[in-house]
Amino acid sequence: MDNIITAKNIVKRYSQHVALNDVSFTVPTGTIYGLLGPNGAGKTSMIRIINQITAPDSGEVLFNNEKLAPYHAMQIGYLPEERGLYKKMKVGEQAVYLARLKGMEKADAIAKLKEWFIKFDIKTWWDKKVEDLSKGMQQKVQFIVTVLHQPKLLILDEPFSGFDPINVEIIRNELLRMKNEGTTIILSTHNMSSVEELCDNLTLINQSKVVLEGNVNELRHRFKLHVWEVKFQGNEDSVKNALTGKYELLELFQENNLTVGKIKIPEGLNSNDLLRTLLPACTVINFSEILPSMSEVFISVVTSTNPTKKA
Amino acid sequence: MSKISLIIQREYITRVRKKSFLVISILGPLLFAGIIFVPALLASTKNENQRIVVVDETKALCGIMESNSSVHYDYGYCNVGIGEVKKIFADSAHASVLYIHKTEQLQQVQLYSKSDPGIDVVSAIENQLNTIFEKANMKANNLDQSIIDGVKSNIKVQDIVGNQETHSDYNMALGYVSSFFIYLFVLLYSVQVMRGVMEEKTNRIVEIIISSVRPFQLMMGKVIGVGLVGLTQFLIWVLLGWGIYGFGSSYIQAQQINPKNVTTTEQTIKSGRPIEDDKATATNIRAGSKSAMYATLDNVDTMLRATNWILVIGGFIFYFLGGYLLFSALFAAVGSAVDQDTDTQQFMLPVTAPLILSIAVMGGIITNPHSAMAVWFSIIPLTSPIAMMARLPFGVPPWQLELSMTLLVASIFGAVWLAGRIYRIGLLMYGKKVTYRELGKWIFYK
Repeated sequence: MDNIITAKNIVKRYSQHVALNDVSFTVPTGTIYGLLGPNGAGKTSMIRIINQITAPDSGEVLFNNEKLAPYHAMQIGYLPEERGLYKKMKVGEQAVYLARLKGMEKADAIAKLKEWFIKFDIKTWWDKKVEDLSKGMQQKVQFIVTVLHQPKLLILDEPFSGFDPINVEIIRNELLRMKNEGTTIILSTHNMSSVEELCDNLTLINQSKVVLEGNVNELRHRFKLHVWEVKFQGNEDSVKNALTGKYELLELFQENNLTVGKIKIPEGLNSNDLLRTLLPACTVINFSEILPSMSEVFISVVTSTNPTKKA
Repeated sequence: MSKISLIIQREYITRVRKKSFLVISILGPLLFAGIIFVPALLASTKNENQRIVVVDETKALCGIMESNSSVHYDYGYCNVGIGEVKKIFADSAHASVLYIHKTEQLQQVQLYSKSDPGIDVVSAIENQLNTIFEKANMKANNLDQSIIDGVKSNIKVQDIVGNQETHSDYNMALGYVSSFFIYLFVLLYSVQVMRGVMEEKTNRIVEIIISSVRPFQLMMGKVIGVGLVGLTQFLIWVLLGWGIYGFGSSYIQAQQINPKNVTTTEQTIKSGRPIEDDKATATNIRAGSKSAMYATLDNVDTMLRATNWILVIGGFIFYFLGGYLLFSALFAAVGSAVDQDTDTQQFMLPVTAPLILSIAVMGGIITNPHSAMAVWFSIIPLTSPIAMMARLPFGVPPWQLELSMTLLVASIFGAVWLAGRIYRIGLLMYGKKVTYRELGKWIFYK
């Protein structure tokens, strides 16, 4: 698989601190890539380097295996976290202006914008001034402007903030549609459920360094705690008795006339062993492994890489 | 279309479309016309507050003193006693009572006023009385007026530089007006650039834009776009001003009263006959001051022909644009470095100081255009746009002009480079109060 972005040993220093310390990662073409990290980790610095807003002190970024150059900006769509529009300008006029800055022809920009305005049901906004729109409405316009020129790479910094659940769903579907059409999307967000749902791969940056990189599913497997969920019919006590001594029963509760148990398998044993233990004690209806959420992975990695002890 | 021209276009169109642009475009010339014409019109209008009742015990001066723009004499009570006049004076529309008492040798007269009449009125009365008594004394000593007139001389200095006559006073006016325009334009529009930069920064649209264009392009696009707005405004002012000037001067020409009236006044004064008709005097005065105004306008035409217009207009355009580019780049950097209006002050002061300084010394420059101070101010780039413009109408040695222009162009490049370095970093700096030290560091960031 081709990589649309290859970041090699990026270092970015500001006067007081190092924002990026030897950061390397690759973004495969046609995927949704999560760029995660706690506040102040260096995500925005990295995004700005890919957008050529700032330059790294050392290291390089390749765009489709070419050294990043100004003309690549036309193939990138960027939605910053802190975003705004000219308040006094009219919506349509402003969108056309921003599209033309991305290299679109005026007529083409107007035609495409009209399509999007119909799709998002905001036709009537064209001649409104931006200051007359609500924040959520402005976000919609910003999103359209970001994707209008059909960039090969979309960089979205907290794209869902400010949207209501209905609009979040609309944007999510648009992102998936664009991914299917071949667009690569870099998604920087603190919303872990959208990472699980949308991202194929991710990089986790903490304290200016990459602390985790890989496929989302692989990572969840890598961080799994060997906890399984069993739904069964039968006597709770006989199940408890069967598990005692070997397995750790984390939770036990009733759900839809079934009993649900969360059980941790110790080292040296596997899921078959657990099943064998359970079968004489109850009727197993459902048996599945619980993978950690990305949120749990995030927290465990970030806390383990934060230096708590000082020499 | 190139991106910078897109930015220029947006900056230009959004500003020219604003209502405030229209208002300033129209009010500007009216304001300037007001500055020029209103004092002239005021001077030609007789002030009712300066009506003075003359009470003359000697009877010799009744109707002799001539009303002018400062005073208007009312001889209606000339023969009434001062005590009686003073009684009714309080309720009259008159400002003062001039009391000339009977005496052997007139040394002093009294002016009773409701409020301080002001130096103009007092000196006008003194001058007139002295002139009248001088003439009377001459007559008494058998000195003929024509001999006295023949003795008087009125020598004027004619300025000749090279082979051409110059007009120092007009050069002063030209230098003053054109450099003041540069000052006004540079300050007005550089501050607009700064506000525009701050708007983009606080709106947070700037990050979207600089992901499409380089910060330098954005900055230059704004500087050029706003500059064009200024040029447009200036052009409108010039055209409207021209129209108002044309209208104003033709109006004054049309209003000029039949020359016969003026000669009558002169004859009356010469013959020493008292003028009985009050109204006629007033009309004559008005006609007289209008013809003086017309003469001024006529002199302006003479000056227009005598000036080296290629140098002055060329220099004006050069320093106009040069000054604007230099300062607007610096103001753009200031705008990028701050988050909010209140923080602009600390950075604006050092940038505006040279502008204010050059306006402050301009008076000295135009009265003495070749002094060391004038030369230095017109060569140092931050003050040269205003200082050199003030000097240009007087003629400047070529080497000074060349040096000044070269230095200005070089510092424009320097300022634009410097501003560009600060600008690209400043745009994305939020929530931090920036110090000069920090600005210095930004220049060297990669």
